[in-house]
Amino acid sequence: MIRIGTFLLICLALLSGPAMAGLDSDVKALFEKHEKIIHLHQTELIEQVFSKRYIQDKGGLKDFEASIKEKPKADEKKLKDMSVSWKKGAVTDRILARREEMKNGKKDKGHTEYIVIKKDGKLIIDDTIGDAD
Amino acid sequence: MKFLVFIFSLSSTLAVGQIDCVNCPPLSSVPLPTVTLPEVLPSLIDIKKVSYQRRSSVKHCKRPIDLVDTIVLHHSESSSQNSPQRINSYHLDRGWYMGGYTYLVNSPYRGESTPASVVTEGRPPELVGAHAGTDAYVPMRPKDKDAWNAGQILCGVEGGQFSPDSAELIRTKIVGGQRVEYMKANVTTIGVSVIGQYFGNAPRFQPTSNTLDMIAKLICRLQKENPNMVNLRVHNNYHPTDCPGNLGKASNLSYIVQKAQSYGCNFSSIPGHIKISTRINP
Ligand SMILES: [Zn+2]
Repeated sequence: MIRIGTFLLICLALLSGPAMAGLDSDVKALFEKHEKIIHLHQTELIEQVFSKRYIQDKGGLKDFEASIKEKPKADEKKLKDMSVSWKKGAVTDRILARREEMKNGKKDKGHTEYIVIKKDGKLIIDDTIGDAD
Repeated sequence: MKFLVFIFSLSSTLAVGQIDCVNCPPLSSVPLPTVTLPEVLPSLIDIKKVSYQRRSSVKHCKRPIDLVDTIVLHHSESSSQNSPQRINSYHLDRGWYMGGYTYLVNSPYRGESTPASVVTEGRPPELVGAHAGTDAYVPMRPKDKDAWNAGQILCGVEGGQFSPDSAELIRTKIVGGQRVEYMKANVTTIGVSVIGQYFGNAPRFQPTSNTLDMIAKLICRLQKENPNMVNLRVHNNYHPTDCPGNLGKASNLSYIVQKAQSYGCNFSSIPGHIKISTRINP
């Protein structure tokens, strides 16, 4: 009985392993685009990265673009000063992604936590949540 | 027709009254009885109660509410359109028992008309919240020690035995050669979160007077219910965070404190980024 249980667990791990690895690269790709928007002002990527709901809450596309361009543009190097870790929601399909800015390999400021959802088969940032705990 | 009947019956009643009172003394000379009415304080602001999903297998802690002396202000850093249940569901996804804030405030951004202004209770006040920071500790006061020793601060899971959990809530540190006992700041505080994000210079991210007034009414109502709640703090007094954004500006805090004073309450506040807790890694 224990052997069957162990076998099933191994099967589950083998099956979910590649799916998790795929998800990991999808999350990383999403946040690479996110950094390009924030630091390089590539605002044409906004609708690929953020949900309609998120953009609406920033005052709509124009206001969101303006708020991004309000901050000084950084160079490409800045894109690497970021680390993202993520986990699947404990009760829903959401992904909770934690983005931290780094300086000389160390965590710089507080982190931001994003709610990432799947929309039409693609990952998209739908919301953020505070770092209360 | 009905109106005429009403007028007729009213005038006949008055007439009868006059006949009955031919020998009555003038009204001014009748001593009026003194009636003591029970004092009914109009509630400053309504607090809506809703039901939330909880994860019954997750540990959480209980405390006597009179230990709470501090209200900590947050913003949810999320869409302003979120319901308290949605914030609860985000916190469940973090693996928590339920949402970490004790009260949640919905109020529209400047220039917007939604969501409706409403205060909702979150995690029940008698439960220790999850908001100030899991590594934020404050020195134990004698009353905290008494409550701890009396077994009034307990942790457990739904349906299980609750017991004191010093690993979860208590830390000791040697300060100036003295052994100082600290307790998790979440035990003696409650978290009030305004749903929305209040970072940035755009006008919509500056809190409106309606939002600040709702906070003032809420904290004053809480103080009237529990006079020990005398401190208004902000999240970044406890934790290196930008929370609660512009809500924590000194001018906004003093507006809230003054408004609360106008409702008959007294609060002390200090600007954000002044640390009042000790960070101890759990
Ligand atoms: Zn906060």
